Amino acid sequence: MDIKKLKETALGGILNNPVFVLVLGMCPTIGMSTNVTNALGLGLATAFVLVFSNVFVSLLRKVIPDKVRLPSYIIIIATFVTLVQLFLAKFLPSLNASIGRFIPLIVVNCIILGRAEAFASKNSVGYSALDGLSMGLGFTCSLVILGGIRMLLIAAGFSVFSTAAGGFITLGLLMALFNFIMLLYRNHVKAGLLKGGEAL
Amino acid sequence: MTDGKLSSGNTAYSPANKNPAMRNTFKCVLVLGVIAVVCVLLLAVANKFLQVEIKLDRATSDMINSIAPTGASDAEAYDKGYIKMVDLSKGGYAISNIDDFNKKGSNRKVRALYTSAATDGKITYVVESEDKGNDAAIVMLVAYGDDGKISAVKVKSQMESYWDKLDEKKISKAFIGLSGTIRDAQIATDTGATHSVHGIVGAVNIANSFIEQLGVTGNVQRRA
Repeated sequence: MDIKKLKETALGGILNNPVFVLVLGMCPTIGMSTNVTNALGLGLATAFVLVFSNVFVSLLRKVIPDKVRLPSYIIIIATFVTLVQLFLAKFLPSLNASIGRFIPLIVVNCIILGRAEAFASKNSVGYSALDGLSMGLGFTCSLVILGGIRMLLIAAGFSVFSTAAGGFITLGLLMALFNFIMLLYRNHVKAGLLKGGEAL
Repeated sequence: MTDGKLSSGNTAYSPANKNPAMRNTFKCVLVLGVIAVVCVLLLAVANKFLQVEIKLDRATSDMINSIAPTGASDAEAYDKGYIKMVDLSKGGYAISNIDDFNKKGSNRKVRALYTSAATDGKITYVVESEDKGNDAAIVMLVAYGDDGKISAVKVKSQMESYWDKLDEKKISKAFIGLSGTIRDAQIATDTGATHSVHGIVGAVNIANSFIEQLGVTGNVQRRA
């Protein structure tokens, strides 16, 4: 087992965070981050679809011809999105009422198709599942952090943060902060390398 | 007598000489077809286990208590059973099965029938029905007076993108006193959410049709 690849894949959700670094899935990020509960619900739904679609795409990567890979991925992703929708309607109707209209949009969320194309179609099932989990949890955490901050600002009386404009402002500032922290981390790692330490 | 060879001397047809483009196309179609079939089967199985059962929950009970007041608090109305879901199969009604009433394949359908028993003994019938709006199903609760006309209407659930264009209270009031088939124009015009209004009116119309066929209004039962 390649430990380095395992670490990179497991930490992909942080180092290549889909929201703050890759800037994918902006529609649900802005739309559903006004409320922590909705953000958590949508994030976990996306994570579920990401993991299982990655697994199935990886399982079938040697079978699916190149010409029909995108339609095949869409069918697989849509199946899991439908499963999520059925589950929410049955067991979590109140959450379904809040975020239900955004669930079908998960099918065209760039994160899902992007990871299927860029990772799952080229890696084994284990790594693909781990990548899906890492990216999914990274997306969920981003949404929850953004949702929490917007909730606090809205509660403090800054109603502009309940709008899309406020969402973009908050997201932009968080992106800057996140990338600054990542820059500090990478500089720290480089310094460690120069001193003869092991880099990630 | 032929010897199986073509007169030009070419070798006879064999699978090894098949057009590779044709083979690739066939493989693409086959793989896509198999994936689609497997996914459909998976969803069919999941649908069997994840079908939503319509039951009277606290949220629905509170909504019914707001449009067909029992005179008791929401908690009391729910806990003491003043608001109940009617089991048509037990008999006593002109319709014994809601599924038989609903047209198969139609977006417009009745979901449930409830009774709301007030403290003075009066029982109000409330129909839960749905129709497709602009984006998804709009579910309505429609309460009926003794005369069979609508006494109150409430939106139970919706997932419409243009819902903020509608004045829900104004629309709900517009239904009061009406019966039979209602036209969209009687309820709201020029809202900018035409399909949503159409969905609301469709749901109420199916509820009206159901309560008429049921024949319960005008023959109000009193709670013992």
